[in-house]
Amino acid sequence: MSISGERYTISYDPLDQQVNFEGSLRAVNQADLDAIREYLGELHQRLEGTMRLNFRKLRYLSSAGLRIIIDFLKEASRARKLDIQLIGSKVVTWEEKTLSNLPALGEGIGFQVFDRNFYESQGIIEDAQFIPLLRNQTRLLWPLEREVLVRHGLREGLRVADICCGCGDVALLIARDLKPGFIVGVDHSLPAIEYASRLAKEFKVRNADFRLGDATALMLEDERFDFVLCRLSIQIFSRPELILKELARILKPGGRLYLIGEDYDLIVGYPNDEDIRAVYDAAGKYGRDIGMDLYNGKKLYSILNGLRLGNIRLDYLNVDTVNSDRQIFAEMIRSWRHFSAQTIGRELGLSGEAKGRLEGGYDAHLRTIQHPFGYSKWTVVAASGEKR
Amino acid sequence: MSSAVTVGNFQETEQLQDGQLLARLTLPAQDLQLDWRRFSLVANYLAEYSAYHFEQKDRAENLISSVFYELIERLASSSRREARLDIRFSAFAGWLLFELRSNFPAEELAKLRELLVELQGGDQEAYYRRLLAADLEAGANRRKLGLAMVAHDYQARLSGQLDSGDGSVVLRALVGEQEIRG
Repeated sequence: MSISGERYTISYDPLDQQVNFEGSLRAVNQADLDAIREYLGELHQRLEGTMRLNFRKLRYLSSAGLRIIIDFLKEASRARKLDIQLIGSKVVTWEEKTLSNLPALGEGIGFQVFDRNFYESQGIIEDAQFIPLLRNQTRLLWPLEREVLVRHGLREGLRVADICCGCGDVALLIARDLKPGFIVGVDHSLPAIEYASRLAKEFKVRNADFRLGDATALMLEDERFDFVLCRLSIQIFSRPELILKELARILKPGGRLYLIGEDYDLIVGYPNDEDIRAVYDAAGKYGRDIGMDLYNGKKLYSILNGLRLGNIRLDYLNVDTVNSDRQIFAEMIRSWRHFSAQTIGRELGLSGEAKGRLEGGYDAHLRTIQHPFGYSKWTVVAASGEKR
Repeated sequence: MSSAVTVGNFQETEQLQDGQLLARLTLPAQDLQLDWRRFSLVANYLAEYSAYHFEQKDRAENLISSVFYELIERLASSSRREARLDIRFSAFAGWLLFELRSNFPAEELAKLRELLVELQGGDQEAYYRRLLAADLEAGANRRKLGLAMVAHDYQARLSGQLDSGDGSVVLRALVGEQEIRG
């Protein structure tokens, strides 16, 4: 969901309930100003808790643009529905100078210069190797996956469990957008659960709860949930059957188990197609060597049948350079590059040469994504089945 | 008898005329009035051209462009169609001097004079807070925010020399170079 003019783009990131301003908000005509006013007003209506206005990439703001922001803040402050957090950067001179005056417009308006401690636990969370990767994956997948979840039966009022929920982004998006009666997120990482809980509190999400837990021994009752998710997770466990058994146990009869799997065979790109194929073949092989299955997407149908689930539905989620933001796509691949060459490489004791080959392959993929005429696609498989 | 009026400490900037002139442009006001995107084009050009003189180049560029944009918008949009806008940027002894010259119809000249007088008042902080809290869409306030923002956010000392006889306007904004530093 975004709006743009000749030199600006305003987009919404539901993960952080954040409106991102980019470009230059100057010499905008009245129609643009009205569109911005309406856009902010609509988001204000929809959200709860805190709404973030991120100006870090807005290079210039004129007084006409500022007037719109001020009017919005005044209205928001009068309504007292949300807290508004303004985010600026030290790099862009106008931001600190101008935005710092705006909290005085009313209650519930804050201003923060972005730094690495923007979130209380950001140092821990976002330096953890997996978290930025997970967040970018969610940014890319959610616009496609939201509809898929609905098609697979996730609807208002259901009791939902997200097992291996990571830092809780998808569980929180489901809680806010799809309005289940209740969603519980479980993960084995304490910082991730603390982070998810803090976000839920900040965004006043009342129908979500996060718990520390072991997916192979869930502290959840039998047949408790209408819809159980396990996304992009069973691929990293060497014995996925232990988790699957637990997922099936907590699912109510008539409820659905929803899985998302990877399939490195389905990653393609052009130009540099041969290099791209070679690096994912190599990464897939190294993954297998440490007990991961980065090809499990094509196995999900069999897995769900093996659990004696019926009415199976299956969809491909194709994230590509046409339907998604190239920058976020590239950031995700950079995280993969690091994880594959450094983390897995270290684990397997790969030689410098082998690591270099992997990094070179990922670099070729990055060049393709960043090439204005380049095309690349990352496909994951979403499949669900019903417990009889 | 001269019909020129000076608002603010216009004289203190006189000595800066001898400072280092970093950039100067003269443009037909009508060109800018016909396409407002040119305000930004000109402000960015002057800023990028001049920024390399400063240690924190990116922050300097952003400040120079932000200040110039508001000054150009205010002067160009109020100028007579046939006026030429003379824009100068100088630096001297820790100060940045933004200067614009143009020619206004009488009514616009009076409005600018009124605003400059308001901006010379004692408690600028309170003035700016009141302005932000006011209805900014209301006619009189709508065109005050730009210069008020420059005066407040960049601690700019605004001064002007306005001549109701021939409509000539000189607007100066004096900004401390320390405002560039983060």
